[in-house]
Amino acid sequence: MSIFHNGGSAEEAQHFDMVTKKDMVLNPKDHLLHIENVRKVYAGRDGAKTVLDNVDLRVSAGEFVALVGPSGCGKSTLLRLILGSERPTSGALYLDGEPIGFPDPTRGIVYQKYGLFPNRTALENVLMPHKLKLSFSEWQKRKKELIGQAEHYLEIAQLIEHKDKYPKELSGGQQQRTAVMQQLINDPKVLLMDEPFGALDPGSRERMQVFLLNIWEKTGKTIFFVTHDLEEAVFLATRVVVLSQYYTDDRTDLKVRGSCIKCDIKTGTVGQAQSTKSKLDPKFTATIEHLRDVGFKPDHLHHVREFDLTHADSFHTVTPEEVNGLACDFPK
Amino acid sequence: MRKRALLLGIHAEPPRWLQIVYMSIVPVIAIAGYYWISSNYLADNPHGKLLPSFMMMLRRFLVLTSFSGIDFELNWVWGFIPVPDITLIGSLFWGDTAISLFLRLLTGLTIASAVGLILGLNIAMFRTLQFLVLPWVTVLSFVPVVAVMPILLIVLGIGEEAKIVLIILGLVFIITLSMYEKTREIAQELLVNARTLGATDLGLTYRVVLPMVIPDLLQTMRLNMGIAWYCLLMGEAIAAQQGLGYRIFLFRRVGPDMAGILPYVICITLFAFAIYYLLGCIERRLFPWKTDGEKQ
Ligand SMILES: Nc1ncnc2c1ncn2[C@@H]1O[C@H](COP(=O)(O)OP(=O)(O)O)[C@@H](O)[C@H]1O
Ligand SMILES: [Mg+2]
Repeated sequence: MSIFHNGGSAEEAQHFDMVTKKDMVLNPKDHLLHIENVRKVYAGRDGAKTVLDNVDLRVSAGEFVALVGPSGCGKSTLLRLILGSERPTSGALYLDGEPIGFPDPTRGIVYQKYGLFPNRTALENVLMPHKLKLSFSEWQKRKKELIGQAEHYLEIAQLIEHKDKYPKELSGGQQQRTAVMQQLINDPKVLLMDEPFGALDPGSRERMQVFLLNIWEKTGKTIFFVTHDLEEAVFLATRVVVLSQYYTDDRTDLKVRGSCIKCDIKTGTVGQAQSTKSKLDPKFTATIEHLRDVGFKPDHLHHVREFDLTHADSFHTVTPEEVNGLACDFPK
Repeated sequence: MRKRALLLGIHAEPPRWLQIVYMSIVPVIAIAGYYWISSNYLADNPHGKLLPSFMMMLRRFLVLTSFSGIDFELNWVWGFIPVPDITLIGSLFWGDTAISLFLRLLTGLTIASAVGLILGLNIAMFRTLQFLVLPWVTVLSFVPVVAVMPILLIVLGIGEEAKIVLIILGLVFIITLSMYEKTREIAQELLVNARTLGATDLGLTYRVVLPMVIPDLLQTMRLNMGIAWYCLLMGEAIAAQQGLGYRIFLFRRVGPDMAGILPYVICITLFAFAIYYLLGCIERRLFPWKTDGEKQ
């Protein structure tokens, strides 16, 4: 059942693979990450507050999904549910068909800050997954090999000359690269990222985006990337999911406070950004303009405008040379 | 352009030599003032003991510090903690210092900080302990140690144990509560991250969190050294045969021997300051990763 019950053409409706009743009965085993009808209510001072409601989402292995939405709409809350540090009020979350429990190494996270251990150097931070997982004797036995591997990862992230620095001595971009490398060594099934580049200046932010894309292309990791920056989302992801603060239930025509996954834009017409090349396409800018309308103004959902290409220069385009310049051999 | 002020004003920026001059104004006035009062007093009472001159103090102090040999003996507190008993034969001052600093203060500090660290860390990490232990640690931290002293003397006698336990009691609850607070201040995100990296309960507590709060332990010890000294001198004043605190109170009874008391007070202050300063240096030296002020 589509919420494009009027206004939108059938063609437009096709662009949006909306949550339907049929999807609801999908087997959790069919996707790597399966979020079903999740609701999260916080008890606040002024009564209960519904932060997430009717959230349905499925992520397949190897996807790069970006979750966009305005500040305070519940993006971090959804990540906490996926991590397992908090439980949903109702609904269910599955990873690989297994119900999600407490935080464990199958789900890794990169935060905007507080991700690194302040008392460990970059190298020690990257080695932490091994140190925490291995017994002392095992660690002693494999120490040499593992340190070698960690140094190789740091080299890829252009951090090798900073390996003995503590997090506070690293720049914001270097810290985030260290955090990403720590997670790659950890090797989770899905890598969650909560506005990881939000605190960086525009220049390092762009370099980090290219760096992350490169890693994603080389490793095929499943990435679930939260941001409030639509341009970042479209540039990076194969699929953009928009979480809005206000949610209009089209089936009952009721305005409900809370949020839901508004649209689940599949790769294809809207989520063009699948290969690096197509990201440089003028259509990309159009995609952003389009998403601005649907993502942040739910009322306009039915009025998908013609793409306005005059806004093309408002977006910084990364040249293919820039992307290739950062290409590197990545261990599988 | 206006010249920078040397003496007054918010933006005063005196050069280094002037800073030193400013710093010495207070001690110079204090010393000169005492010298003046003391010489007037001694002119009126040539055999008076209350306000000795600096020369009298120095002479007395040299007598107290001179020694002719070292007697070393290993004692055991509670049968398992080795404590060297160093007696510098003939030197009251150094003997007292060794006993007070190395036997009583150091043992008390070590035990109090080890127990406080482990207890505070575990209370913060394991929720059950927050009900089981935390309220009672908080209540106990309000019990004035001086009030418990008679009980300690009755139960433990007047040996070393009572005096060490007094220092432990004075510090252990403060350190526990401080370690609890510091552990709770660690960003939740970091703990969740450690979990996703495979940390177990014990791994999280002892491999991730413990190393992060050690600098806070040193800081807590440094800022509460005053309490440790207070407990030490209290214990020694009431039941001891040796020690810095014991000696001061003894000098009061025999005399009063002000020329002996004053150098002791000055030295105790210097020791306390030296330990404070040393702990500060160790903190900065051993933990270069620690951000001062704002959290990471
Ligand atoms: N533990 C909590 N208790 C009460 N309210 C919370 C809690 N955590 C988050 N919230 C509320 O939930 C909403 C969503 O928060 P969050 O998930 O951090 O948003 P986002 O990451 O999208 O900016 C906010 O309005 C916030 O105030
Ligand atoms: Mg957030």
